[in-house]
Amino acid sequence: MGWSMATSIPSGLPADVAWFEGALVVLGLICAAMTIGLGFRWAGASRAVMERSALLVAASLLMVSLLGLSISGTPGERNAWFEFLDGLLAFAAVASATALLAGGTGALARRRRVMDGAFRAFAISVTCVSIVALALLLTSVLYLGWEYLTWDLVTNYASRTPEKAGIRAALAGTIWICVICAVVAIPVGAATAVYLEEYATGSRLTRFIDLNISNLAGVPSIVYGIIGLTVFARFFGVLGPINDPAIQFGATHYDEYLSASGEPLKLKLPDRRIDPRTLISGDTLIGPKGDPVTVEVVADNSGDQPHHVWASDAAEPYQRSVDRAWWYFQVPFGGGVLAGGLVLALVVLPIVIVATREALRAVPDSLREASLALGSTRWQMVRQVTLPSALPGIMTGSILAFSRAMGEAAPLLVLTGILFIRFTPENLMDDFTAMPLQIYNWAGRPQEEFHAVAASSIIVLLLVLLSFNALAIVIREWFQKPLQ
Amino acid sequence: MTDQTTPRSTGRITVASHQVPTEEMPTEAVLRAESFSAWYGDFQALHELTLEMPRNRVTAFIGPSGCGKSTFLRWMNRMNDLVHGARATGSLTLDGENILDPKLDVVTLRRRVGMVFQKPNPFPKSIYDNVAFGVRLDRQCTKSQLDEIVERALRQAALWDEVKDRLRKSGLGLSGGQQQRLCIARAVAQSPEVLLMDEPASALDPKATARIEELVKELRRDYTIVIVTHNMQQAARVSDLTAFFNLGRIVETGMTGQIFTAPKSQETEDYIAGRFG
Repeated sequence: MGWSMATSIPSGLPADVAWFEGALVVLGLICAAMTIGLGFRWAGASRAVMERSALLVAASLLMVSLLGLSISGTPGERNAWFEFLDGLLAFAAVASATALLAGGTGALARRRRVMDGAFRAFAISVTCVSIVALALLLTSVLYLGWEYLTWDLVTNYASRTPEKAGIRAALAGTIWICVICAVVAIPVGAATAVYLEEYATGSRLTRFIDLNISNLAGVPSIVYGIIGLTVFARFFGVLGPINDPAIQFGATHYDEYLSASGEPLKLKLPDRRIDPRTLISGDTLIGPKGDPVTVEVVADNSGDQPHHVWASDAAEPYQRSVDRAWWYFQVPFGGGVLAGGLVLALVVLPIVIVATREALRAVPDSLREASLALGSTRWQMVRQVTLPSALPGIMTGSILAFSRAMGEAAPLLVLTGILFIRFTPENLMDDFTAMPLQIYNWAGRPQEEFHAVAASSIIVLLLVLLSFNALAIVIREWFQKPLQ
Repeated sequence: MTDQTTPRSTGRITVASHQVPTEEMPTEAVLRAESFSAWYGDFQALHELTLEMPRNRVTAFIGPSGCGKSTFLRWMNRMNDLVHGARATGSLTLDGENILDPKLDVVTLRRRVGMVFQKPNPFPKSIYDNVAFGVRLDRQCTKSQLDEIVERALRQAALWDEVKDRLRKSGLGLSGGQQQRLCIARAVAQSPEVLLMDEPASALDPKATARIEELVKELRRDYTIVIVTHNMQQAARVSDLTAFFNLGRIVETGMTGQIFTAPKSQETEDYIAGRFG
């Protein structure tokens, strides 16, 4: 039960945890005392309100207790974290129980007033619980991750030794996919919202779209991962496998030959599907420095040969290689940053749409009328009046959406799996790993050191998140300025 | 540009009157309704209205709430297109051109028929941008041309002297009365033929109201004005002609002086005397 503080205190905790829990209980008692005190002072409510409040308090109490039970119900896995949470729950339980008790004593009129105050105190204490939980989480992450929080963490690639492990690839991947996500989700989401708010006329189709957007917002993100894998990464398999895509731009294919002196030279291919061929004398290959090399094929490879001479039996290519330009593009996309960004865009699209619609709805109709009455077309109205007025709201909504996108691990996990990557993506199709995936990976390792690296990475993730948000706020303010 | 591309009918309808036109006399009708009825869904808001609104005159619509005067006004620039289920029959013409024609370009119509609303609704933009808004929608102007248009419109709306030093400041920083005059300036910047005013002073204090009324009398020289008002004194003060509406019908129309001093209908007299409405 939620009273598990009684059972958890003597269970041999580290001293600081017990101390903390004690502090929480004291805080709960203070809150409860406040409840009673304030209850006497604040004015009463109607009987119906009182009864409802009592019910609400009782229900919350039950919920909190059940939650406590479910978390603390596995004694084998108890650790300091559960104890922290347990203490919080106990705190909420004590506060609400006291509130309930206080409501149940005294004359009716007094009880009413007490109940009102009690409920208010309950609401305040519950709010405090979430704030305290957040503060605790941040403190413990900072405490755990402080050690590995160095500049090397940001500049190093992933490694098998925790001291050398860094998040360069994950950070780059996260930035890539979030930028792609923003570039896709904001225009599509905003346009959808504009259509639904400014053009659609309450037809059956509109209501159907409406309903589906609400539904999409509730779809678990892992499902989007599966959609992304099928649609974006594999394109339903109709355009060939990922490593042999039907549509490809920006790739240059080479056959590589090893010369008699062991130097690799390349032959540029007009098409990646042509058969490898045997070199003949007079062929021109590309040398190690990009210089053209004319081939001479000799019968045998005895003696000291210049590097452009091939023995006839070695004139076959030993491998095929690809150079991808920064604008390399293929369909199907594969599990690259483009697919990752698109999947995240799917995840946040409903949020962006809903936020944009809310922002558009907040623009007074009198402005729309003013614009139309001046002879603007609907598009001119949207472009010059509605969207500028709604922009701050749209930005705020998008900030919330990207906070979520940045922390998403599930859909990316389905799309890419856990990859050990030691490069930063250079084109839209490059493989990537993202911060949440990297953190998930490290947190799951048996070595304690990696848990600390994970905590440091969480700090970096939070910092990136905050700087993204700050940037969005700056943009928002900048757009808002001409309106004031 | 608008003026050149819009086909205009040449045969204008004139009032059958052989009297010498004086300041009070009606001129040719710019807007003309005949057997005009309007519905919101199944509800018939207007019944068989017939009315002429003459050029360079102020026509006032008076009547109790819900009598359809605003509905009628909003049909004149087709703002009712925005209302789901609104439709109309009969004829409503601007210079002989059918306003109700579904193929009519409402954007062009609204540039010719400006509107001022009950509550001041300036855009959250600068004073300058508010006035220039309509002009920028369909014309490429040089900076100096635009400056000239903005200044002229603000002068016409009797606002220039108050705002000439703060044109780049937000229109929302003005007082209510100034905001309403800004809205009037915004409408006249388009050089419309007709100016529709839907209770333009009802949200303003008496002093601001007096300024708006003065302005209406001024604007009459350049525009044909149709004004809806709750305030009978206002109608008496500013208008040349008055139409009294009740329950979606026009009960009586006539010169304002005559309506207020010698109404023909008992209903009008009762309303003017304050016995209902």
